Amino acid sequence: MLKVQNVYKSYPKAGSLFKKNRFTVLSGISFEIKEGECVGLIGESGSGKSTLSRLIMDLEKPDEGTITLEGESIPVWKKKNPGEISVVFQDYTSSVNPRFTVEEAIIEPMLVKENIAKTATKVTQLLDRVALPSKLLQRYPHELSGGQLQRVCIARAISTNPRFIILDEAISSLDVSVQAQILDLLKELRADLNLTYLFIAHDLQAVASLCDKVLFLYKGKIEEELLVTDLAKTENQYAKKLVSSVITFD
Amino acid sequence: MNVWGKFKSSKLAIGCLILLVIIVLLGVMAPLVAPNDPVETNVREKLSGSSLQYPFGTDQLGRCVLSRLLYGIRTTVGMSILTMIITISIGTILGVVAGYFRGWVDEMVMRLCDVMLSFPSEVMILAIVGMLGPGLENIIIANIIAKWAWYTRMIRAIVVQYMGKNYIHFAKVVGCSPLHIMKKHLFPGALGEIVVLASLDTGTVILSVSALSFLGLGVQAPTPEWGMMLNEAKNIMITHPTKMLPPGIAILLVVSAFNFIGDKVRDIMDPKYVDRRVKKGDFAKSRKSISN
Repeated sequence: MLKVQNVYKSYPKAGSLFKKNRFTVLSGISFEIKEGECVGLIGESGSGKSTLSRLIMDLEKPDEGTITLEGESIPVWKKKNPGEISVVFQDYTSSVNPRFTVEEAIIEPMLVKENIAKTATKVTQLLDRVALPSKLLQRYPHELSGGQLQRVCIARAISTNPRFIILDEAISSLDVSVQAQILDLLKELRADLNLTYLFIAHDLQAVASLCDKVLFLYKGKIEEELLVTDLAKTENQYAKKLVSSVITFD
Repeated sequence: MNVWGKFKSSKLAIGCLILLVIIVLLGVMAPLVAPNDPVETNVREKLSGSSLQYPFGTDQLGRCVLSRLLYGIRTTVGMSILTMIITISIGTILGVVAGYFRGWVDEMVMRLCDVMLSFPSEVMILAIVGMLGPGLENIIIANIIAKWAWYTRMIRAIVVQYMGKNYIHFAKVVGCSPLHIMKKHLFPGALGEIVVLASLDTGTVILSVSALSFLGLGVQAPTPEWGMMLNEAKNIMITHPTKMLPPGIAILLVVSAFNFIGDKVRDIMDPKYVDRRVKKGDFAKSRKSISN
């Protein structure tokens, strides 16, 4: 479904006038996500995870290389399939317009496809789907807790029945017990709605519990591509370090 | 609580708004409420104190000061508000477009702003009025030309700050149209700050219009205008210092009313705004509960 081919991205260094002086973030990234698959992208801070996700979301253009969805460039694909790509961000506090009520926030993406009359009943269903009471509909984002707000973001992300969802560190800023709940919710949704996930994280355990395949991003390159079941067999130094650093509690 | 409800809860803001509404109404109904003709001179009664016929006295030509103040609302306040509306509209449209699309559109608008901003605005206003000749329309044109670039730049800066928010990224990713994003996110988000800019600066524009009239470049005699009244009163400042008070206080009141309203609107446009004023009796109650 998603195909990333030989993507390069660099930014000008702060204070430099000339093109030469650039800071390379991504160098030669290639990978593929098949329909219905859940791929985890893991890497430490500054490894280029967020840049890569912004490129896939078409918020920025790559310097070189192509990113395609079902063989078409992202803007073209989006025009043909409105509302079929969605995203959940890490920072839930700025993910919802503080002026919008929960209801308005969830309706917003739906308006791309449908008119407003059809949305009313669906919003309550969606809230129910993410285990939130419908009395929250008229609340504002700052009146919700972090976990509740992230659930609203997930409800909003699935409101258009998308096929592809990018989870950009979607659980990283939540506390551990809530992380587990949201992971369970994501698993459930994936099974029910046949979603394709790109799950970006820096926590290997979360990735391992949700994904089929893991990509290790290190210094702007994909170091290793592994099935979750083969994690222990990794040969790569960085991946080994990550796997061994996971503390198990069983 | 909606915006109006919050606004109502502030006595100062509502007081200022009532004051401005009254002033605007008085300006609109000037021919009905003014006791005398504002341009009619009566040299025998010149520089008289307050009387039944001339409640605020008369000026050096024997014209009724109250009537001139009332008619002056039309020129001073009316023209300033008109100037502000036009300038802010230009600034908002260009600023939102430049801030949203970035790239070459942004470059073009911003470089043009740089050029405009590289002249000091007061000098530019004087130069333009000098070229076009004195007169009310020319002051308005000069103010708009001199100030639009500054507003465009301010509003673009506000918009750019909103463009980095995740909710706008989200709207872009799911495929909302640029118009939708501007209408639903950027404009309402920036509106609070734009309103503050506008209301704070309406005061400045009033001062600017008055200042130009004070210099003799604006409204031409005998049309009543507050700045010009102040200028005329200045000539007799030593002998009749109280003649400066009516136009001076009028300008002061209107400019501060706009400033207070601007501040209040900024507070309430912030959705996290909570009215933290302590109600009367709360303190006594809390003390009681502690002593119990």
